[in-house]
Amino acid sequence: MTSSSRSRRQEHDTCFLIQLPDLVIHQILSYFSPRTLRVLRLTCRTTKSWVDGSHKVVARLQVTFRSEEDVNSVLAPPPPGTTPTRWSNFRFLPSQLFTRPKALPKFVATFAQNITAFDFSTLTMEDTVARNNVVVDVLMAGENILKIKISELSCSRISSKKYGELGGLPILIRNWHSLRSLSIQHIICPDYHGLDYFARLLLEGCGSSLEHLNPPTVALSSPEYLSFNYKLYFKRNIVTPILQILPRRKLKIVHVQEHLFDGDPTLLFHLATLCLTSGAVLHPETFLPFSRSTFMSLPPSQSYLFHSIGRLSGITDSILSLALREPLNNLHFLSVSFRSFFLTDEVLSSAPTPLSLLVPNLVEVEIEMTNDPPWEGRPHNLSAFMRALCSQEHPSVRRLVLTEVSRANDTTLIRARDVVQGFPRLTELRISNWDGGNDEFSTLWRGLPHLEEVHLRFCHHLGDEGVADMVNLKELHTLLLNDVGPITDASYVNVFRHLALRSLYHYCTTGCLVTRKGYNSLASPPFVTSIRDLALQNHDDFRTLDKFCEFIAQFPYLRPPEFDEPMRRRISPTPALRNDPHTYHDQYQSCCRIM
Amino acid sequence: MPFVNLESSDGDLVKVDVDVIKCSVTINALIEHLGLEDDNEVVPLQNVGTETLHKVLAWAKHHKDDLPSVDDDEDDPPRERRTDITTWDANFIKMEQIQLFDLILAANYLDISGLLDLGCKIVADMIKGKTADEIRTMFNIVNDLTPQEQEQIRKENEWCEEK
Repeated sequence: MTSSSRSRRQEHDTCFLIQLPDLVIHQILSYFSPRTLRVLRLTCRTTKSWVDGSHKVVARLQVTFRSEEDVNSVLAPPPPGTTPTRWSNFRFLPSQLFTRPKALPKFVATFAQNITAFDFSTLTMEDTVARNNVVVDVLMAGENILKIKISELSCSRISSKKYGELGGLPILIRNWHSLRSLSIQHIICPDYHGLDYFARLLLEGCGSSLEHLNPPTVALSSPEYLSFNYKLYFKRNIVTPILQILPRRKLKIVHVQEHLFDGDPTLLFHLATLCLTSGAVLHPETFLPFSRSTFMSLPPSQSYLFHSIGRLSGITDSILSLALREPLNNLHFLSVSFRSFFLTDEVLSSAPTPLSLLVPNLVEVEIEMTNDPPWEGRPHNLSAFMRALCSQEHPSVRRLVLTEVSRANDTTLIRARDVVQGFPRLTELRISNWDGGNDEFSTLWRGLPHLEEVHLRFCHHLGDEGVADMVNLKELHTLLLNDVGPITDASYVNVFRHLALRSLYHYCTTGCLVTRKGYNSLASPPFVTSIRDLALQNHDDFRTLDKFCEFIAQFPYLRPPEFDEPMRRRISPTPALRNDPHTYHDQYQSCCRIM
Repeated sequence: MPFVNLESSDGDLVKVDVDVIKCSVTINALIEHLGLEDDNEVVPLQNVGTETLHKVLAWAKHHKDDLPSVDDDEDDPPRERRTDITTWDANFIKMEQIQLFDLILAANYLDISGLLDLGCKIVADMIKGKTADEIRTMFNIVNDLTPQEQEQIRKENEWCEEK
C-alpha cells in the first residue's frame, strides 16, 4: 500500500465513497436503477443529496401521485434542519385528481420553479374539469415546464368562459414558450373537434420552442366520420394549417411527417401543393422531406387540390414545377381542382398552359369561381382564363365541374362552345349557378354526345327547349336537375322517358310544373326497367299513400330506401306521409317487395 | 519509439511508452504543454501513487488498441446505463476497496475515461441490490438521517416510479 493511500485511510477511515468528486459520483449514479436511487436516498444525507441534487438523476425518478393525499404529503413541511426535496418530474395517475382542486394549485405554487415535466396517464378534459379549470390553473403556474406527456387525452366538446373551448389547453400552451416536447399518445373524442384541438395546440401554442412532437392516434366515436382514414390522424384541412406554420416556426415535426405520410404519399403531395399555393412565404426546407421519387410514385387515381391559385406570382405549372423541381411529364393526375382563385394579368399574359400539357391524361377538372373581393384591386378576369383554358382541346378530360359561375358576376364566363371545344370527350358535366340560356344548353348536348351524367343546379334559364336536345345523349344514365328553369311534362314525355336513365333527381323549390302525366311517362317502356333511383318533387298527385304507392309500383327495379339513408328522402312523400315516417317507410318497403 | 518518465506522488519514476499512455488526456496535455522532447524528461503526477500508477499503466497497456469511446450526448434523456465488463477487466479490478477508490481517483485525475468507467461500474455493482444498511456497512457510512427524515423519505420513495 502506498503512503498516500495509507494517509487517506488514516484521515478518512469512515467512507471513501462520499469523498469522490461530484463528476465521478454522477457517473456512478448513472448506472443505477430508480430502485437503487431510492435506496441511496435512505442511506445518508450525502447520498440523498446526490440523488435529489442531480437533475439528470431526478429525471429518472418519476414521482407518481395516486391521490390527493399523496400531493398533500409532498406539501407537508420538511423535517427541521432539512431542505425540501427538489422533485421535478411528475406523473398523475388518476384524472380525477384534477376535479378536486384543493391540493394541486398549492402544490404547483410550491414547486413551480422545479417542475420540468408532467406526465398524465389519462387526462380527461370533461366539462367538470373545464368548469373548475383546475388542470389549466395548475399547469399555467408551471412556467419552467419543458415536457408534457399525455398518454390518453379524452376530450369532449366543452367550453369554458375563462379559457375557451376544450378546457383551455390551447391557451395554456400558447403561454408555454419553453415547452420542448409534447406527446399525446391517444385522443378520444366524439368528433373532429378533438383533432382540431390538436392542430390548435400547434397553431396557437408552442411552435416556437417545440422540438419534439408526437401526434396522437385517434379514436372517433362518431359514425359520421367512420370513413375517415385514421392513418392521416387529422382531417386534411387541419393538417394544412399545421404545415403552414412549419416554415415560419421551423417546427421539427419529424414524427408528424412520418406518421402523416405513412402509406399515403398522396397526402404528402396534397399538403405540399397546399403549402405552395397558400400564399405564405414558404421556406425551401419545407420540401426537404419530400423526395422527387416520392412525388413520382404517387398513384394516378388521386385528385389534387390547388387552392387560391394566382396568389402566387406564377401559374399552375410553375407552382407544380417548383414542387417537383422538374417538368411534370411523368406525373399523371386524374383530377385538378381550381377553387377560389384569382389570376393576375401577368399570369394571363403568359397564357394559361393547357391542362393537357400541364398534366397528361387528366381526367377531371373542377373549377370553382368566386365573388371574393378582387385581389389587390385587380378585376376578375376569369372569363379570359376560361377561354384560354378551352382554347385547346383536352381530350383526356372526362369530368368537368363548374361551380358558382354566376357569383363571379360575369355572365359570359362560360360559353358552351368553349366547353365543347376544350372538353369534347366529357362523360360527366356538373354546372351550378350558370345564367346560360336554352341555346347554350342545346350547344352542350349537341357537342358533348358522350355525356353519361349531368348535374345542373340553379340554372334558372334552362327550360324545356334547353332540355330537348338531351334526347341525343344515348349514354346518359344520371340526370340531376335542381332548381332549374320551367321544366314541364313535355320534357318528361319527349325527352326523359326516351333516355336509359338509371337515376333521375328533379328538385324544384319554386314550384313544380310537372304533373302526374309527366311522371307516369317515365313508367312506360322501354326504359322503365333501368330506373334505380328516383327523386321527384313533391306533388299533389302523391297526396295520398295509395297514389304514392301506385306510382312507385311502376318502377320494378327501384332500389329500396334502406339502400342508404339519403335515398329515403328522394321520393318525397306527401305531408301526411312525412308526418308518419314509419308508415311511409313500411309502405315504400312493401311497394318494393311487391315488385 | 518515444518514451516518457512519469513520477508518482511517492517520488518513483516509471518509464512508459507514450503510445500506451495516450489514453490519458491529462498526460497528453502535460507532454504537449511541457514540450518534452527528451526521453529523460519527467512528467510529475502528484495525485497518483506508485502502486496505483502501475495499475493504471497495466490497464492502459491492455487497452492501448481500443477504439476511443463515444461520449454520451448531453441532450440524451437520462437513463440507466449498462454495466458490461470484460473478463480481463473483471480480473484486473479485483482489489481492495481503498485501491479501487485510488484507481478511480487516478483515472479521474489522468482523465482516462475507459478506466474511470470501469471503476464507476464496479462501485455501482457493489451498491446495486443492497439495502441502505448494507451500503452503509460496506462503505463505512454513518447514518446521519433522523428517524423522522427516514420516514419522510420512505413516504416519498413510495411515489417514485421507474420510468
